[in-house]
Amino acid sequence: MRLINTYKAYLLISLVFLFQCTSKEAKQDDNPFSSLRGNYMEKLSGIEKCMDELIEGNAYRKNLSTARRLFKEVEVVMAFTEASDYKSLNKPNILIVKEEDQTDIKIADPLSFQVLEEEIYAENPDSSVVRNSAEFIKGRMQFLMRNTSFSHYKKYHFLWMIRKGIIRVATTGITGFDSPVLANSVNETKLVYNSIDEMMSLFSMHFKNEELLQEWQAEIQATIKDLDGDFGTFDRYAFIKNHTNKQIDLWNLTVDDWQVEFPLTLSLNNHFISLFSAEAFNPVHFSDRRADVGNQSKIVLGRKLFNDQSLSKDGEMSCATCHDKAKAFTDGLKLSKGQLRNSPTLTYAGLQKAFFYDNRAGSLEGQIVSVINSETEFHTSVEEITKKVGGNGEYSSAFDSLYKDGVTDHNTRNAIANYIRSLAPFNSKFDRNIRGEEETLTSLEVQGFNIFMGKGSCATCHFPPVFNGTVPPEFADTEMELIGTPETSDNQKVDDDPGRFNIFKTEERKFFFKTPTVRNVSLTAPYMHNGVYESLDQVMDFYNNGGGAGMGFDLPLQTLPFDSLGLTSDEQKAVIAFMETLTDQSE
Amino acid sequence: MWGITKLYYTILMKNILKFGLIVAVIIFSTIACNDESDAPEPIDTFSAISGTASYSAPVSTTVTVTVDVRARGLTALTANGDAISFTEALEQTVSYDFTIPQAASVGQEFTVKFVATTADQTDEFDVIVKAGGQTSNVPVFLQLSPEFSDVKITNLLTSQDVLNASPDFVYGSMADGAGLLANTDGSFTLINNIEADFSVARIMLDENLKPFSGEYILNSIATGGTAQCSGSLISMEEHGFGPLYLSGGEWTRTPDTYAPGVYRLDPYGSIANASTPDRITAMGEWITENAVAIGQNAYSDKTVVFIGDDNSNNSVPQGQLGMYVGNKGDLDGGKLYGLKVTSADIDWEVDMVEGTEYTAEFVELTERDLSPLNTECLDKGVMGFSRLEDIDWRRGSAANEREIYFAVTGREREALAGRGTFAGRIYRVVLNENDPTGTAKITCILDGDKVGGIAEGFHSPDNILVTENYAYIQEDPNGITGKTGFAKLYQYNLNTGELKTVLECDQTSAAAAGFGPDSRTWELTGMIDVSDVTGKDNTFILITQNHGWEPEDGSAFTDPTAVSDVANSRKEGSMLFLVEGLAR
Repeated sequence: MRLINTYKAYLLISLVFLFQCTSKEAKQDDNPFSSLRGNYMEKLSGIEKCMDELIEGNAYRKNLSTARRLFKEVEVVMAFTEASDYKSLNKPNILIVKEEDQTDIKIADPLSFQVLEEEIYAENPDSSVVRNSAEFIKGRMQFLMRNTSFSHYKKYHFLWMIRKGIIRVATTGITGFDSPVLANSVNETKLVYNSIDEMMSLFSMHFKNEELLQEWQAEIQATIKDLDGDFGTFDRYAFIKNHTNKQIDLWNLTVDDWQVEFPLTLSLNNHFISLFSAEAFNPVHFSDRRADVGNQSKIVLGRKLFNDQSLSKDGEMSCATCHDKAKAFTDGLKLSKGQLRNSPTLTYAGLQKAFFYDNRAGSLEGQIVSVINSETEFHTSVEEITKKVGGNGEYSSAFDSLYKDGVTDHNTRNAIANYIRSLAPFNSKFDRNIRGEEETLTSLEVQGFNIFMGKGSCATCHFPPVFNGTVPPEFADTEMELIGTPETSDNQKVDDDPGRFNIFKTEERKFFFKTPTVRNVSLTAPYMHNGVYESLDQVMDFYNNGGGAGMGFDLPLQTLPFDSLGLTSDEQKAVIAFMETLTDQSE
Repeated sequence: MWGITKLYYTILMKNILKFGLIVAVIIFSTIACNDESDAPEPIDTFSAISGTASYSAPVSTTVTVTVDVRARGLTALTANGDAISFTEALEQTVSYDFTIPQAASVGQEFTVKFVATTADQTDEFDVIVKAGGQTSNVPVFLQLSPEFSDVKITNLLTSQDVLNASPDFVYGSMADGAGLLANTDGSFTLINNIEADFSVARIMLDENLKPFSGEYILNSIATGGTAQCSGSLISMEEHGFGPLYLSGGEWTRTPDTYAPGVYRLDPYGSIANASTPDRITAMGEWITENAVAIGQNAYSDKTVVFIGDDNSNNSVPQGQLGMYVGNKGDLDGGKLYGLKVTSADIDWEVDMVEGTEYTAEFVELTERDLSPLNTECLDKGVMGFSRLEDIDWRRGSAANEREIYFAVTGREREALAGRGTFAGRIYRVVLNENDPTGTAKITCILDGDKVGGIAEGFHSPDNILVTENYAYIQEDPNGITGKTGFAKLYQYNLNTGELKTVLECDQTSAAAAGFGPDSRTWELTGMIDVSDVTGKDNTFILITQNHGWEPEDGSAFTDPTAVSDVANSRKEGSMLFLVEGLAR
């Protein structure tokens, strides 16, 4: 009820504003986007009002709470119409560093709801910190109210908007990603579903099959009912299995019912049944237009090249030397021979937007160049490799038949990259279970997933469904973190490998490393970029203690919470049990 | 002193035998120059001394107005009613201090009225004092090539200067795109993007283009910390409507969280609206470096705007050239297109070799939001350039106005080899004669990666200005392997294809004088041709972003009305120059 009153209070302002805006927006009386826009504007105006109160220093908690509710209610629309603004307003309270080029490095403090939450719930909130974020958010509300146009949207945009909203909830919403202090995520998610319910009603005229709309409504009500849990104990596994999956089913039916054609494919394919499947991902988004991902002949060719030692300078090394299929494409060594870092798994490597532990390459094809040139690896050049491949009759005829320009440097790398991109089968025990194909997970494994996704905060960096650093639902970025990995397993001091720092010498990026996938983790020991831990128990212990900073290392910029996760040893065992269900079945 | 001597001599000769009062005016100032061209005509009687001597100085400065008085039996002498002490001498020089009020507007004239009285006569003489602009005392750290040694460069304004009429105004970090308007009162208005402060400034200039005052008409709250990079003016003279200013919203204070796109500003808008931006949805949410409307003669009934997409992807170049086409004067209701190169076997921008003309078309785009729009471009084969930056169009005729030039700054990444330019390129697009969306031609006219090529010296060409006969290309060095020197300004002859270096930033001298370390390479930018607007041929404005030059006291060159959180702002400074004597 309080919420409804808040709306009334803002109605007047909103009406005035809407009136002013009509000139910019084409008349679309019969268009449900018009009503959608109206509701949206009203809520933005409400947030603006709360920010005014915060700027004035009034009733911090009450106004933040009201604003956050409204923010949750506009989440589905804002995250679609202005994805970057939504992301910015939802930023974690972690220093932002953007390294564009050697001469172009930008560093900034975030200004966001999460900053407000942390400050307002601190012992003595600093009014200038609150004001900075509140002014920023207010400015964004004014911007959005003035500049959000719905006039170019069609039905397919609406459906994209809805599905993206559903996937966001499943992958980040219920993990506590955006409410680190209050841990109010589960509760807030109800507001998201209320808004989806409202949106579906606005678009009800498109349903030919009215039962489908009723099914949506029933499913949303059931979802909201199930969201009545405490953050710590909420059953995320059941939520995704029973609700997210069901909603994607309904969504697919709606696409058919509305006879929607999608002119484009974004990061996720327009049709898939489960997010935990290879078919969910648009390979073009994760490679480039001309990569021809999925071409089996190119994959087979790439596999041969991958395993061919003759391509290296001394003829003793192939890609497989450090990426052994039996070990999920790692080598089981602490550090790979002659290397400074542990060999990462290549499974699911294609579902990333940046490569190497320090994110220095932007594509798999680009990543391969560095390995070829590295003195401690292939120690040759792309020209030499191209010559060798071209000189091999079998290879060159294969290239001639598969690529219009035959053997070239780029085609060679593309074949290898396509093979690596094929190493993402999504056929682990966990995948099969969450897709509903079998019911073999133990209660310990389910508990482990729920801790991973909730209390353990693991999923706030290792995002489902790949459990790596590629951030859903856009899958546009692969994140790096500072966790303070120690030099030795007795956890005495931080490892001196500065990680990302080496690329641009940015002090604020010292000790940052990419978040790898935890899929196949039971095959990829030892762990961490320096292979410091031999067992997952040690890894869990490290995180449970608050990472490097939690163990007393001086790392003020650590991105992992400094304090203990407070996981019992049984809970840690459960998380390990869950992670061990992520091992792919061999073909 | 020559003028004064001459004036005095004239007066003396003509009036030597007369009685009464003779007043001659001379003006001294420690701050600015006298305007000698308006010296009074020689006079026959004392009462004919009706000086038009005008004088210009910044507000809040005190001007010492000095006059020569020749009189017998002087009984009273006043200036603006204040008594001035005098002697019985036949000739004497007296002075009066006049302070130009702080609140004076640019070009506002004040009169200092001298009144001299004898027993039987009174004479008056008015001196005009104008509230004018000021220039910077900071040296010009731009080294002209010998061939261009006649070019005159004046440092108009730097971040450390205080403009008397707006002492709190700070010319902020990374000044960039600009547009100049002539005002009805003879003054000028410069709209200037302040990129790293995510804002747009409006600077008033006096009739001689000296900065008078400054303020911010779009602040960082409005833009959400979206950098306002290059900008361009739409004017009645060139476009048949306006004035309007388009600004390219590009990168942001926070990564991947931006409101990029084309911002529209009223150059004369109230600063009360500085927090309420207007972004043009119809022009698409590109990572916009600049948006430039071509001249009205290009197409009789259409307004055509080009949009440069500074996408900096590390493996697939995807900076696109966008084109908006609307009815004349309509910036919201038109359609959006992207440039696609259709010649066979041109998959990547570097497949186009310097000097060869290729065929291109414009494909319609229906998405507007950042990610879908980019995906649509990739799907439809819109050509991707490695950071498409500034755009301009050729002046001089309808056909010229259909010639578009743009700079691709480049990016050095192993994965971009064979795909995107590293050191930078300049392209020319010749639009279809009848229909902007019709078949066009594209040529890479300068390729910075071509070994032994004429543009081999290029180090990230970033900004471009095109006149009737030349393209002026400005660098923003990105640290490309093998490239040396500081940022340069090049002159490219559109008729002969000759490329000359006009000047190079002299950061060695600058560093020695305390203007930042020479390890942080400056950017040359914001060059506009102001000849037509000012009526002074071959006159330009040019800007440097002086990376690494920060206030010595650790504070920031940041105006709090642009960025309220000054403590966390970009600290470095910028400089604004007047360049006279470059060919057009």
